[in-house]
Amino acid sequence: MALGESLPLHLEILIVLIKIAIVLGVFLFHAAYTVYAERKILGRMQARLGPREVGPYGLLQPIADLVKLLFKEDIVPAEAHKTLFKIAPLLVLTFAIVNLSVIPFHPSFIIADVNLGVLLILAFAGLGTYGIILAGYSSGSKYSLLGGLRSASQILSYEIPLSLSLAGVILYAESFHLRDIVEVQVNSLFGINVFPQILGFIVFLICAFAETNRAPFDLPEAESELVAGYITEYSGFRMGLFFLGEYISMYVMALLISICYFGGWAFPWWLANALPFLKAIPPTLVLALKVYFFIFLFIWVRATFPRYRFDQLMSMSWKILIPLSLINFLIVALIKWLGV
Amino acid sequence: MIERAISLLIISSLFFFFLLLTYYFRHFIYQFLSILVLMVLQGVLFLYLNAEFLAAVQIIVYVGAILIMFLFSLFLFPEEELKGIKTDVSRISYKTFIPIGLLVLLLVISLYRAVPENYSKQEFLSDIKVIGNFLFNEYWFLIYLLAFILSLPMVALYIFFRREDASRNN
Repeated sequence: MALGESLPLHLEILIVLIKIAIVLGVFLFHAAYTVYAERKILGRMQARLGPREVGPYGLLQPIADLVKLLFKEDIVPAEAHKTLFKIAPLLVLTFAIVNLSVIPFHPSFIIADVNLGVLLILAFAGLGTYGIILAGYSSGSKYSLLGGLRSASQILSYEIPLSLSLAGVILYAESFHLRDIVEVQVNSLFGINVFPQILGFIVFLICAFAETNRAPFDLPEAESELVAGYITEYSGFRMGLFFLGEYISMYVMALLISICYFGGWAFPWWLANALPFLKAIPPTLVLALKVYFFIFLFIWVRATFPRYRFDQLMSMSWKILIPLSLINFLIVALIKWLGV
Repeated sequence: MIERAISLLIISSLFFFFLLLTYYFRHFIYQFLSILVLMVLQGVLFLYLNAEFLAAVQIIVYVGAILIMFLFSLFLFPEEELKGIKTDVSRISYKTFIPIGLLVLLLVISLYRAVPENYSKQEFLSDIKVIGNFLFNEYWFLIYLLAFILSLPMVALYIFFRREDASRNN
């Protein structure tokens, strides 16, 4: 086949299917072992040992957890809206996984090479909210419903500063494509976006915690107030689907932070010039290391910060984060105007 | 072009199906979910018309924000008030159909004038930019008129509820 000639349709579909299988396999494995890592790290931070009974160093614990979840009785409450109750966890998981399709893991490895990658991720994040809200409603329990309501208001409030902080990145790169965002920041004066857009980065990081319902913003599933929030009535593999969705969302957010603010798979030019051996590291490994750091940060924050009150959560978004993200946007506009 | 025609047929059939479901369901939440799917389908329709940005904004703003607030307010009602909804056709006033009639009239006028020769018919049917250019260049007055007409029911609704409140207070 001549260079530049497009592949036949069936081959293109096959290649996309293989890519999907690779990405799904890698992320499902990572999600399972992130649970293990979280339990180990939290254990160490709380002066405990964490899981250590199943397999060497407790390494088979995720498999034991999976088997337990699969074989537990699947209970559907009598008061529940049965169809919605069954669909809700699937919605959460599906929209978390779909986000991975527009994220480049390597300059030449992306499942769907679309121009509006960033906007699609925001769109899927908005759709994923319905899974949580409907899970809360369909359970037929007050605890679940309140968890769902909290989730709705939280995600609505935090989506605005999240989008505004991303608007700064988009303006700087003049593109919605995540690959262009990496290329522009690597070739810029600062090397990575986090320096000129430190405000945007802080806002994005805080919003990432809130969007994934992680501590200290895990109000929708606050154990001490709402039992387990929208998950209260779920058991077995359906509950597992919610957790899987949450961990994949964590990875999506970590990937977005790495790509939009830390140069993705590349090192900043000044660091690569100072330490030339860094250029030999494969791009995907560079991205993975950055992502692992942010996943560790997610766990570290969970072990460190107490949960916010609901009014604090709301006022933080509307009174602090939105103005900060707007200031960040103005700074980026000024930088672009000055031609830096 | 046949693939585009088939996809348009599928999208419009789904539109019709979920539109019927909004009437078929007797529970507010299920009716709401049908509207939600309609909104997503509208985004798909924008994608079909090569307006990717508009499609993403449609999903982010309407589906991801406005409809969530809708759902939020529905949750504030007790479950008993959400189910057993029956559409009472006799309560629909003939005045409701005035804006729809005017809309149809405008469409008929538009069709009568037909597409000018300087617009390619192929592009006109598949590209939202061309449709937008065409509408704003050739029919700007009608669009403003239509926007004005469509805003009337909102004003009417406001006045209607104000009157009801006033009568309750009396």
